[in-house]
Amino acid sequence: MFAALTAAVEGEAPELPGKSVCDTCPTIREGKGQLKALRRFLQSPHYGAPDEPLDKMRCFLEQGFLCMGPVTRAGCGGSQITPRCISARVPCRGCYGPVVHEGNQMVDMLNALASNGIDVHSLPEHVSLLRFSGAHRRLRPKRQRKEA
Amino acid sequence: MAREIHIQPITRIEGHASIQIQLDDAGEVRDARVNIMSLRGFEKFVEGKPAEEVPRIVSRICGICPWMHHLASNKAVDRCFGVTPPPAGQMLRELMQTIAHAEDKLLHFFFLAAADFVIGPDADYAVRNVIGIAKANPELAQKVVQMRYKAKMILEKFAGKAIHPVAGVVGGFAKPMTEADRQDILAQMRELLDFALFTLEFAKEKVFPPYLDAIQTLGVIRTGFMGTVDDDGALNLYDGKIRLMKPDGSCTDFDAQDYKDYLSEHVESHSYAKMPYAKAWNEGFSLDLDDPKGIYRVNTLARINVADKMATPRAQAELEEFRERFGRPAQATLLYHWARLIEEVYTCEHAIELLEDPEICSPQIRTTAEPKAGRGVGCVEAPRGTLIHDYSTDDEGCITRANLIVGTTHNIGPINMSVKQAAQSLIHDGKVDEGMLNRIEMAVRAYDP
Ligand code: SF4
Ligand code: SF4
Repeated sequence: MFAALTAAVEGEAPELPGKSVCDTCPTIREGKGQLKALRRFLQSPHYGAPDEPLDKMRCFLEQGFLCMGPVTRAGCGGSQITPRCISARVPCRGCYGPVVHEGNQMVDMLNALASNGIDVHSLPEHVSLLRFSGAHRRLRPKRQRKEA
Repeated sequence: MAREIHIQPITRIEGHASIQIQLDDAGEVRDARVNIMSLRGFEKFVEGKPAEEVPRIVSRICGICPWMHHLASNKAVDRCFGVTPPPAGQMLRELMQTIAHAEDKLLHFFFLAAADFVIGPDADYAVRNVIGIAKANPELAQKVVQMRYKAKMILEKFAGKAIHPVAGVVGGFAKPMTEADRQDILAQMRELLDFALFTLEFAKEKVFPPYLDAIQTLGVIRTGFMGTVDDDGALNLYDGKIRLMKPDGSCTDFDAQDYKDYLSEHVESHSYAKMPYAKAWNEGFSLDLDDPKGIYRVNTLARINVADKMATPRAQAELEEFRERFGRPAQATLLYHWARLIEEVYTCEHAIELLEDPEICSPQIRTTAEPKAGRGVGCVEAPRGTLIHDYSTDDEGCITRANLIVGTTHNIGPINMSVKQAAQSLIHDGKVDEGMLNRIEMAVRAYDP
């Protein structure tokens, strides 16, 4: 947002990063684990001592918590800054919208989970994964009716 | 000739509202009402969602007090799942809420309310706003902006997000506090306390005195009050018993879980908003100015009235002085502003108290929860009044039903009464000018809807 505003003030078309929240997330990723199902966010993730920096914490998804980072556009913390929810040790829910132009975060996320062998039915529901996008192409002016 | 006057929109309030005043053939006020638009539909669209996700959905209800919704929601979900956060988890939640209160009160007093007093209700509309204040007193304006920024940045830096917060979680709080955070925030809160004390002195010396007459008359109505108090009867914003006070000053305390036994909601056709009233008084609902029934008010003045005392020393001294001058319960609507500044002192003092306790740095901040069927009422005092989130969950821990009563809703009936009172006392023989209309708006602004 800030980058877009600065760009607007400077009279340039904003160039939004084509990166995902994961690309700007400092947590540790160890690659594919043995994860088969997701857990709900009903307990603390593992992160060690209170002052342990975020780059010592293992990725939420790899800890089994749903995190929308992979399908969400980077930038919520401003450039070079940790994604906001991650910095509070809370997983991303996608509020910055899809990484891909007009992408569908719910479908993309379910695909990503399924292709990594994670049972998507382990989520209690998935409709709310689409709360920050999905209106694309739906909000348009009513088509004018042809005169009979 | 009978006619109708509209004030739309009412400026310098946080929501959206308009005023309609009806004059009769003689040019006297027959009726006046305020329409407040606040239909948001959140109660419906959280249905079916996993309850633990709801606190971060409802934080989007309101951009001004998202922390209040976020925390009331977390408390409701804790109850549904039967978990109690560890002490440090509660303290961190409470600290965030307290700082959010401190920030909000500065916003309201300086940006929304003060122009009426500092610049004067008869001044031209064009200067009767925050820019007018900045021109009249640039150093103060700069200081206000800095202080608000400071409070917002504490929240943002510590909790990731100041607006649309996510750090409150079922069972507690998501991020522990380090010793370095604690020292840093403590130093900043001490600065904010100094500013809060300065603001109250400034208001008592320079802002309120010329308006003491107006304070005793404009929008004055006689109602009951409601707010939250702790076990000692001291004002509490985060937790405690809800106290309902009758206009005569007698009180009943109850647990938020039982709110439906004490409050009920009246639906009026001219507004989408529900009007809660005190069912426990068994007198029904009426907005009649001379004989209102079931009407109580919430928000700053109400909290100050129902509390036996303030839990912190500076705020307590201020409360004593206030009571000495205006009695208990104080009914004058414009005293909401004064009460707001006393609460500002309390929030800064209380944040410092929380931070001075090293327990707040404990790594035990969250209790693990299991989804289950249950019902839970979560209640906090929002800047605008007692905020109630009431959820039921199914076996999977997903929401089956949600009911929200937001702070301003309690005050809609009283706001209507104050506006009618102000209009009736100001408008005669059909003569209306801008100064009068702004005074009527001032009666609304006091409630900070
Ligand atoms: S999935 Fe979440 S925690 Fe993991 S790298 Fe992406 S944003 Fe970070
Ligand atoms: S939910 Fe929004 S603010 Fe939070 S990490 Fe994701 S994109 Fe950033």
